[in-house]
Amino acid sequence: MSQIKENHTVSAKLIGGDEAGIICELMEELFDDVVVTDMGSYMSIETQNPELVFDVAEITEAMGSPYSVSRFLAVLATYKGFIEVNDDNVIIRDEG
Amino acid sequence: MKISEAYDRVKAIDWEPSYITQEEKTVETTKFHLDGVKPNDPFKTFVREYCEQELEKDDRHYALLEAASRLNTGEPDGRWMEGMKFGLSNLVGVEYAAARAMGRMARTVAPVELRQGYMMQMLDEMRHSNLEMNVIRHHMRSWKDPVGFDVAAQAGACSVGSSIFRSMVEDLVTSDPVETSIGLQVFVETAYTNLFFVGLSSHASAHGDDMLASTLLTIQSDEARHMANGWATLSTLLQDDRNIPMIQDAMDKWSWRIHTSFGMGNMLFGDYFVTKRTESAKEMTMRWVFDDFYGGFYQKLEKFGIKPPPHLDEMISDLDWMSHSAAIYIFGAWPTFFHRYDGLNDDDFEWFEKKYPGFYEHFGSFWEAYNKCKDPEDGVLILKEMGGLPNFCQVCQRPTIFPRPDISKQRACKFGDETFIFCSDGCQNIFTKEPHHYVGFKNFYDLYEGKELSTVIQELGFVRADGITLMAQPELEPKRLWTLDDIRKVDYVVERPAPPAFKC
Repeated sequence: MSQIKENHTVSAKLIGGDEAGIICELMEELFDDVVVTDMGSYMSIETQNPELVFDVAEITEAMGSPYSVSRFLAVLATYKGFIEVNDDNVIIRDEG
Repeated sequence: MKISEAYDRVKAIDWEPSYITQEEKTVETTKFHLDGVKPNDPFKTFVREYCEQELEKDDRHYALLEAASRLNTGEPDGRWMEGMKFGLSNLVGVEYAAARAMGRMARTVAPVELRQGYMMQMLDEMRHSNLEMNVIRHHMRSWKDPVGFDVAAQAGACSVGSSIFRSMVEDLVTSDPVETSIGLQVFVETAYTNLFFVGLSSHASAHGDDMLASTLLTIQSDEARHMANGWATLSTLLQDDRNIPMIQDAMDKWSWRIHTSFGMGNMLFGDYFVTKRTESAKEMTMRWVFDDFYGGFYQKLEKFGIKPPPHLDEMISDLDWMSHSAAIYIFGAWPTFFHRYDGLNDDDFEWFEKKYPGFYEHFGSFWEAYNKCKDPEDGVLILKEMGGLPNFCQVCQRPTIFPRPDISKQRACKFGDETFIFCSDGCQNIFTKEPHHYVGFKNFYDLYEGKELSTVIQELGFVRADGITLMAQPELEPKRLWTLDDIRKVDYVVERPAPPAFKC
């Protein structure tokens, strides 16, 4: 496609704050090749892997208090890839 | 109950009414084929889940707004705040139009999974209008010169710059309802709002406008669901091969249409309303729109037979000059707006030249002249010095100075007995396919030709409470503010320029 290169990055941008900070630290801990960048008002989590999985049970443990998919979606500002919202996790994939 | 279980149960409530025919129920039909397809809603949205999420978002955002109204968190940057008078004036109307569009789609598109997504999106769009009105209200109470914020909603409906965004949403809400999904959910919300609501939130925060940063981010958290709605609609349409040529037509049109409207707004705001500079608007657009959207999303549609948009190379090369051409129009016509602008300084020149080589050669003279036309005592108006405003494109309503005034692609063409003017091949092609869709738009000259400028400003309502002082000013902290009398002394009458050469 003309000057456009294929791009397989999968990413999530979380609204900045304590919650985003804990989730970003957790994702760095759980997965290799995850790059976290503090963009001031938001946090960016990127990977070249085929998917990013945000698991509610893992986040609950990291938070130390009950957590839910709904609460995660309240801090998910946007994503790159194709999203799937499930009972216990949110997955963002390179392929739809 | 698990989300998936509750979602399936809610879907099962859907029914076909016996007391009304399908035609009576849908009101507006679509040319796209949606029978026998299997839709998918990746967000599994239903009312209980939706309300819970939105309540959580509102609790967080409005707590911040409440706290900000009580605390003094320092003075935000003047150029940014004044720019947002124009920026925010356009958003409320766009959101409201998007809500109308979703209502149409919910009535037209049969599969329940898609309809549910559209209904929630309609509520989101109303929420966004409210959020934007609330941040405008906050700025009216906290910014040192609130004038301009107070007319933002009205200005979105009448200012010459807002015509670009009005014509975009009027096109969206009057197209085939499913085509609207492609224009709005795929191009506006998947390709361009990420840059605006997320990318520019960093600028808002860096310039001390934390309330706008929070507003933009909480809005985009809904847009994330709208992106999924767009993909759900598109992946459903792609299941029927008869839809492919119609999808391609819609992609060809809306890729260009949103580039010239929302894309231009992103470029202008990202380059010209900031003082704390990091990435240029061109770099941001390349990353968010062309790498992420075209490289990561659009390219995956090629396996379904969708070709790249015809003007893709031109859209990329436009980025070299787009913000600068937009800026000389918006700031050259400053008396017809409702915000202040300080003009570029040496630091700006240096940064622009580094990010956009050749900037000073093409745009430096305008800004040198602008800086000499600030003091009302001198009686020199930049708008008159630059020879008045150019023509406007009948489709996108941009002035016909793009990509750069000296290499403008403007042309005229007859339709019936009337002459219409276009900025580019892209807009002319769109007009030629559906001329009746565009012939009715009244541009600045249709409304104000032959009128003296102070009369135009009064009719627009961009005068302060004293009835004589202009809302807009060509400086952030001027020694004296321009008045209607100052404008009258300049004696500038709005004249429609001659049409450009014909190209039909």
